[in-house]
Amino acid sequence: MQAAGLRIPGPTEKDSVDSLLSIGERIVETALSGGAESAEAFLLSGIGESYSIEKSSIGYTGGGGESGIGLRVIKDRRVGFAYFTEPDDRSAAVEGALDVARRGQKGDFSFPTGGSFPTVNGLYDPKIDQLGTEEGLAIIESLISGAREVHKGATVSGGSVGFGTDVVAICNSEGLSVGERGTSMGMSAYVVLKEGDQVATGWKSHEANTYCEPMRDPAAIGREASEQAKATLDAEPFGEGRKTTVVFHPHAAAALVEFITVPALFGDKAARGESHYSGKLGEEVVDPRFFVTDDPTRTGGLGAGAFDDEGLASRVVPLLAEGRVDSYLYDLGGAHEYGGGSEAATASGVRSGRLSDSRTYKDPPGVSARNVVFGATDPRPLERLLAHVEDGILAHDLLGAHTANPTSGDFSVSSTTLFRIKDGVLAGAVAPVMLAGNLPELLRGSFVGASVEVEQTSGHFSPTGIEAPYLALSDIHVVG
Amino acid sequence: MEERLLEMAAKRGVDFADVRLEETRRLSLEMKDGKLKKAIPGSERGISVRVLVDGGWGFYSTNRFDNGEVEAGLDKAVRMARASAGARTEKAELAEIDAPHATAIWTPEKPPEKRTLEEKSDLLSDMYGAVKDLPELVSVTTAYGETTVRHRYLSTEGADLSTGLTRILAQTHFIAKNEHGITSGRARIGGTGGFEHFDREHPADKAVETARVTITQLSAKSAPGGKMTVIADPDLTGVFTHEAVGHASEADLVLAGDSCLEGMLGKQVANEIVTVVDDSTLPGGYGSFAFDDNGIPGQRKVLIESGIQKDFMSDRYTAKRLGLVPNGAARAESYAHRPLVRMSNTFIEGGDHSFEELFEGVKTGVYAKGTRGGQVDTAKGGFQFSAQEAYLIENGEITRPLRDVSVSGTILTTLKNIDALGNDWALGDPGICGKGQMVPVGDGGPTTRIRDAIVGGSS
Repeated sequence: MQAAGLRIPGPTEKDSVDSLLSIGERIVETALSGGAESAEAFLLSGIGESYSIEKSSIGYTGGGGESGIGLRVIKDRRVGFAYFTEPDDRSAAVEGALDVARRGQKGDFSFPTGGSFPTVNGLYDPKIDQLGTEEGLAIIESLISGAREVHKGATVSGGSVGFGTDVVAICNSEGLSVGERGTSMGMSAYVVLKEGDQVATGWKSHEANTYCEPMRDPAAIGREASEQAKATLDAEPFGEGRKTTVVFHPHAAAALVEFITVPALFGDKAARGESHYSGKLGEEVVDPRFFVTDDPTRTGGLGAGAFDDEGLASRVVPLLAEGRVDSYLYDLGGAHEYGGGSEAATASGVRSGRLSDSRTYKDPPGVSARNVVFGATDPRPLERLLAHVEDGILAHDLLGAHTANPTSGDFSVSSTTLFRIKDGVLAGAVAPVMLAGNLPELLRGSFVGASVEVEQTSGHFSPTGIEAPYLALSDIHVVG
Repeated sequence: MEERLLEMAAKRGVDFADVRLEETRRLSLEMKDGKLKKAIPGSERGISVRVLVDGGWGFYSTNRFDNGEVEAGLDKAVRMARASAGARTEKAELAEIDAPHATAIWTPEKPPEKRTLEEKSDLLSDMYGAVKDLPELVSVTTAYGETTVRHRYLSTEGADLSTGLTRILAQTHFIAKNEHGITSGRARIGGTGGFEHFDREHPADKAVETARVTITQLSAKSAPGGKMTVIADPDLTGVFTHEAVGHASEADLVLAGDSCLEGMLGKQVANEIVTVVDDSTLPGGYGSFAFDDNGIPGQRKVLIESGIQKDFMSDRYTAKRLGLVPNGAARAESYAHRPLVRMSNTFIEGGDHSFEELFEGVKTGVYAKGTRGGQVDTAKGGFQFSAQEAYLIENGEITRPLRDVSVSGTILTTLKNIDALGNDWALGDPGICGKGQMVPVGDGGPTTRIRDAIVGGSS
């Protein structure tokens, strides 16, 4: 008989990690007594606030909390899953998960046993816990005033500030019991500038796990958005379509790598022939100076953490190194099925819904990169990177990066905020163009370099953190 | 709970409050190469309260009903609204409506909950079985999803609505490979309702049809880049309509100064043959609903009529600010999100050209079908969308397949460059629209001829 009245704590409550683990252990016990041979509970509790800008004024203010539990069970070598929100509903959830398990495929999957975990810094900042309405409104005011300092006619059409705290806990019947608390904060400003028939836009955002320096000067973020809009007035046509060198802004570069390169390095996709890097482990596929690493141990990484969503200890995974495919990413299930066993797992189990950029308890883990770092082994300051470009463009944004073909690596996207590079220096704004090419081929034969300057951004359709530099590639087809 | 929350809001002196209680039941299945990899059953319940105090907005949502969390959330929302009111340049107000009292539970003809997990798993096996012997396919992923949502909507104005609907989706995703290269394709069927969608066209049949097309794309060459005529099939026309017209016609973006259609009401924005509609009453449409999340009935909204911008999609707040009549476009992804102005099923009305007539006189162009999605910069009016399959048109004839074709342009120019519409109107595949929140949408139209579109090619 199960005791009633279990309550999931809010993430900012004292001892919330221990409380979640205690509930998780009760759920695992219920699963074992209900017939599961082994079981795992993943518990998530989060809370946050957001403040939005609406036409240079405060718009909506809002907050919310959500918590829930994802349950996995193993019976007769088959895995089942169910999710629920009230711990007291655990018996029904166990039945549901066992019902799913009866219909699953047999395999050799087992839950991890725990062990030691790396210390990952920069995940939690108590100052974010203490932020409230007064601070949220003050930040919005600064974002707007910063933007309007640059140009009084600027309309801050959108933007926001948001901050929150969440706690994750995982425990299983094999002895794993681990939890972590994290904070997050982000702010952005989107500026529209109209002069005569011209419309220019500028956008700037900043995300971090801690209340770090750029967050303390929201006016600077507003100013940068406005300056970008101002700089793109009087854009000139690109001219006849041709191949040229494009330097992608970190956010634009991150989008291409997120949608094309990273999925191609998932172990299941590689094994099933779904990737342009299938069967190429150890082969040279990109310029030796270009690298991609998944580093969830990185201090302050937006996707960093001591463990993945299955409870495996985080580790650095070189994916493309010295020009070669160094490793593929595997969650535990993928490691068993495609990687030859659990040893192949790279702590890349992530729980997120389809097209979702946040973690959830509503899905079982699937393979994903967690905190991607990419760039050049010989990075150069942006100024020197541009100095190598005789005639090219700097693309600040990409429209439609998500429509790229991740299988072939072909992309054909639009850029509406861009600048000409002439003889190594920026030489005025350029009217919107389309950029087309095949990213795997470009990274192999047309890699010019990457900058020392990097920015952190979150994945669009996955809870992946990405640390991206300016990325310069030659031979991109540009159609004006 | 919801009535009590509303009473508490009234006692706290709000000018307006509404409460949405949502209960959702989901099932999703995924099969890879014939093996069931994921089966995810689940249910959840959550509540949100939105308050207007002294012209400031506050919102709070939670799925934690214990320990006074809901009541504390209400207090938080009221505090935030009150604090923000003083910082607003203009007080928020709502367009008046008659407070709705209704029950609208849409029950599918063939409810998914009456089918067993085995039947749903068999459906995926059938879809896989239909294509598994095509030698070029190196992997096949089939997926099934059903979501049933029940809402209760209450407001301090006296609204009391109970609504419910089910959405269903079956999808096949293939990777095809041969000596020419590798590519992917996707086939989707679904909508609001249940298994009756699969009676009209079985997902296995659509999988076969799409897989064959995907295979033909393997021998496709890169598209020629530049300005040329594009003929878009109903599916791609739908995405173009959604991206290029729909988003720019959302009243919140118009209000924010973030739409190139701001100030265009009553003006010619498109060729006179173009009529654009957003219709949340389309039977079975993936974006259909009975009432929006402001309690306003779903309706057919004519956005552009014979080339003239007639209306924007609006909620009660944006309608008041812009002097419009709210037309039921407020949608929230879930209880955890505040309602935004969103599309439902968006399309261009059909024309009178036969398919063959559309190609007549096209010296060089691209015939583009299906979609990989798109994106728009509503302020500047720039858009981009990608086709799933494409063919070169030379002297009025389809000559050879092209790979990974994308089209871009500016909204006002492109709408005027639509010079012929087919008589083959159809709703395209179900889709998901992201605008900070993900909501299911439908879109469609006739086969559409666009002059001087920019094709982003690499040859």
